[in-house]
Amino acid sequence: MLNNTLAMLPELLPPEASTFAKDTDSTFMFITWVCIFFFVLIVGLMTYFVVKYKRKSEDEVTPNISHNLFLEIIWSVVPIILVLFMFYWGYVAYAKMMDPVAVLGEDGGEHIDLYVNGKQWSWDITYPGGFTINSKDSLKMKNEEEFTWSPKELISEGKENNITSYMTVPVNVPVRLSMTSNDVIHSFAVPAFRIKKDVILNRNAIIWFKATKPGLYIYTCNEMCGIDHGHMIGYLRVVEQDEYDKFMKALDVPLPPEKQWAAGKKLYLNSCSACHSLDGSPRVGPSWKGLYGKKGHKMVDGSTVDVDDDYIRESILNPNAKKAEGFGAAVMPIQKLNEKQLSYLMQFIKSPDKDPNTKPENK
Amino acid sequence: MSEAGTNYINHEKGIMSWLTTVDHKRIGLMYLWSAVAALAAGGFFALMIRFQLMSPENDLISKQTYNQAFTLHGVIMVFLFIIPSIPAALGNFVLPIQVGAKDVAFPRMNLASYYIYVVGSIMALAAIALPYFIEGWKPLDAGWTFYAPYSKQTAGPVILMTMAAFVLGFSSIFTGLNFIVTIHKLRVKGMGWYKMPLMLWALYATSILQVLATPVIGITLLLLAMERVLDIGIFDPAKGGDPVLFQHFFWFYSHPAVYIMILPGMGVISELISTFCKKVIFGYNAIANSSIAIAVISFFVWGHHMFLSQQTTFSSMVFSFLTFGVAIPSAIKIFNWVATLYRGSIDLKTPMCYALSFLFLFTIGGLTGLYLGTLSTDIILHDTYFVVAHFHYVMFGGTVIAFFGGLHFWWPKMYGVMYNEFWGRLACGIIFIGFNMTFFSQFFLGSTGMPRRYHSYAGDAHVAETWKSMSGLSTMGAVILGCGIAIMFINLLISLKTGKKAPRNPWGATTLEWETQSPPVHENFEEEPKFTREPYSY
Ligand code: HEC
Ligand SMILES: [Cu+2]
Ligand SMILES: [Cu+2]
Repeated sequence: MLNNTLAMLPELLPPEASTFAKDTDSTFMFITWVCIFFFVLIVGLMTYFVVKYKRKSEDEVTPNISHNLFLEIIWSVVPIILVLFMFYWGYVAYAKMMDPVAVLGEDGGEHIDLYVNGKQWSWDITYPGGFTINSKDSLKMKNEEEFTWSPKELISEGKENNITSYMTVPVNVPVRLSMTSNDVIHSFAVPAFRIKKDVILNRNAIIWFKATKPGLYIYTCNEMCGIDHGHMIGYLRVVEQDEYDKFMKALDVPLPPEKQWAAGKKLYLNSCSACHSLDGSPRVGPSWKGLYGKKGHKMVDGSTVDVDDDYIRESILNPNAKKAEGFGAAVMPIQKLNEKQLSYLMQFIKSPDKDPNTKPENK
Repeated sequence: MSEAGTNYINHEKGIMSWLTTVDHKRIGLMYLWSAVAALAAGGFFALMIRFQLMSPENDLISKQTYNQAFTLHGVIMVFLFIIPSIPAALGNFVLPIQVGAKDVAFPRMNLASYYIYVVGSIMALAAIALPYFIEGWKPLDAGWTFYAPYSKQTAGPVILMTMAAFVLGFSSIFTGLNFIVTIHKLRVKGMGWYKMPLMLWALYATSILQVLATPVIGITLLLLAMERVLDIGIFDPAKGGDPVLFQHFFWFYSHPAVYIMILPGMGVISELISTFCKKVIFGYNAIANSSIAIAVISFFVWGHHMFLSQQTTFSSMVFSFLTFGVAIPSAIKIFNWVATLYRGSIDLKTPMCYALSFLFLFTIGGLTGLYLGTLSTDIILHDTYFVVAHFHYVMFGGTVIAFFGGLHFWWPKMYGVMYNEFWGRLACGIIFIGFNMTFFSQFFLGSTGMPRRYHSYAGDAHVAETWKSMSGLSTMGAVILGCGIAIMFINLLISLKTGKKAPRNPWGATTLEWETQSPPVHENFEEEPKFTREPYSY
């Protein structure tokens, strides 16, 4: 009976999926009980008084009770003691989340470093190998596969790429997030982990967590950041260590050849299109139209190069080594890309207009 | 002595006599109806938001319109409605009569404050409407908090709107200054500080906050405008500026502003409870002193809006501690009001129904603040619907309910007529139910992590069901709430035509405004008022 009624109540807290959840939730429940106690006390007394002392005649006389020192001391001191507990527990847990060094040690102990980059309007999660997962990828996945999706099945069906659409972390290993923003303020929040912090351009915010429960969880942006603020969400997976190893491998497994060009295009759209056009118009950087194979490409210092694989590779990995004419003052940021991504991008740059793998008579 | 039948409403006629009046009562009424108009506009945007959020992937209004709706809802409700509601509308009407004066200390400045309010409102309206008429202007969408650097990047008329708030600030400062001087200088002979009605203590504390805190928001908004026009690089991190600094400035005003909004409400409630219990207020000194304590401490807690903004862990700790410090005086007031009910002679007239409703709602609002003041639980709740629910319980459940209660309390004095009690109470009940449906549900949305200001929301498997059902409930509640408020105003307006004539002192209250006729004569009292009876002496 009681259980049935309780089951009908809405969820009070998100799932407990990190080591912070226990501390935070017990403080949450402590406050909840304090609230219930005082609410019942205040509203109970109020109702009782209203019923009992309802006016019966116009010339009722009321006693002159102007104060009562004993009562006043009690109702000042008891709340003070209670809030001191809240303050203390709250501070301890908060300090833990905000300061990974204190918890993980100077050298960080055994942990994983991830880079979180907020931008209007998605999150980039970059793994140490340089592989970047965008929050939008996980949204598409979530719609396709809903929640029944099992990573094992996908691997056996050769759909490793699907795995790499989710930010993924292992259970029981501390993860340190090093977070920044490309533009306005965003706020990275994972309710199931009880973590949240604002990210700001040109600043690095660090928080950490240790996941405890495998599952698929939402992460959100909690600071108003423009028109698509409400869609700046993603889904992340917490998995057992062996699946995490597979995930890391999947980041390394090359895609089947017919998908590589498309992957390169996606990378272009995600990280390069802001500065490089495909139609010949200059943006921050030179357009890629007719770039590959160009002979006598002029550099700022007056020299010329032939654009081949090596030149493009160098331009991406070490952008400032040779600078194209007309763009001497512009700076291309160093790209965190791994070998595989580089080779996909290369295929795209060689033939930006169409996928060389599609046969011409295709439709 | 004035002729029988003349009063401040009919002693001069014509629209010009209103527009050029320096009578605090008339100015109070003009403020009142302007604020009510703002309430209607703000309420319209609130309903827009709720209808959009009725279901998870709703597309009733576009993202752009949605962002505009919550921005305007916030700006209008805060700057045009709540801040002037009790102090400038009810306070202007009541304060000089309660101290036994003919008017405020500076009547012309009082009128100036109203005109500045009108200018500010027109600027705000322009910022709302112009984007629809001028090519290239985008609707305002930065939220009422105008956080940089988004407020720098957005195409909306940020400068016009912040300048509107800047101008409105001056009207608030003028009123505050006037009240402080009036209370200091114009109290009737015999009314010592600790013999003032508690409403006056509350307005006094509020005025101090208005005068000291408002300039800070003025400067902040000015800097923001300079950032947008001149690119000075004070808040924009791309220029080496500091966006967190903006938040410090903003909350340095906007936290005390919370108390600018709630303290007058507390004053009204003290009057209502004592009057309708026909009993001396319990702990007069505690209530009076805690008003001042709240005003002072509230200047030092602004950082509790910024626990996750990259401020240092140390400052978060200090701000959390001080925040609990401001919780205690508020709790003490609640206990005092409940204790006043004990052995009272409780008369459930409409104003009293609002007072009880206030106790219920404000208790919830105050208690849920504990979750937000506690650092670890704030991590879950910051920038979620929990915060939205919490401050609506305080601002609406507290201030606005007190405003409605006060309006019903002083209505007979303002217009000399009695409204219909049945409809008055019924409206109060509907508002109470609608309000709780709208906002209690939002606590669950927030505690499960639903962020604020989302145009659509899906959630993962764990929370999707909660988000959907609670949002739906909230929208239903908002409709009921809107109906309740409409009934309330209709009832009041009808009384102007058909209401029975009000006696001098319909509620048997003890403060000076009840000794003059209803409505009062032009300069408040037919004869020099005498302070013969302490407030709350029954
Ligand atoms: C913030 C702007 C920016 C982004 C983002 C950017 N680039 Fe560049 N890129 C430039 C600029 C500026 C130059 C020219 C100066 C130079 O050569 O360093 C350039 C030059 C290049 C060149 C040499 C072109 C030529 O005509 O010589 C290549 C190849 C290149 N970028 C690849 C990439 C790839 C691949 C990405 C995405 C992973 C990328 N860029 C992202 C700004 C950018
Ligand atoms: Cu956002
Ligand atoms: Cu605050």
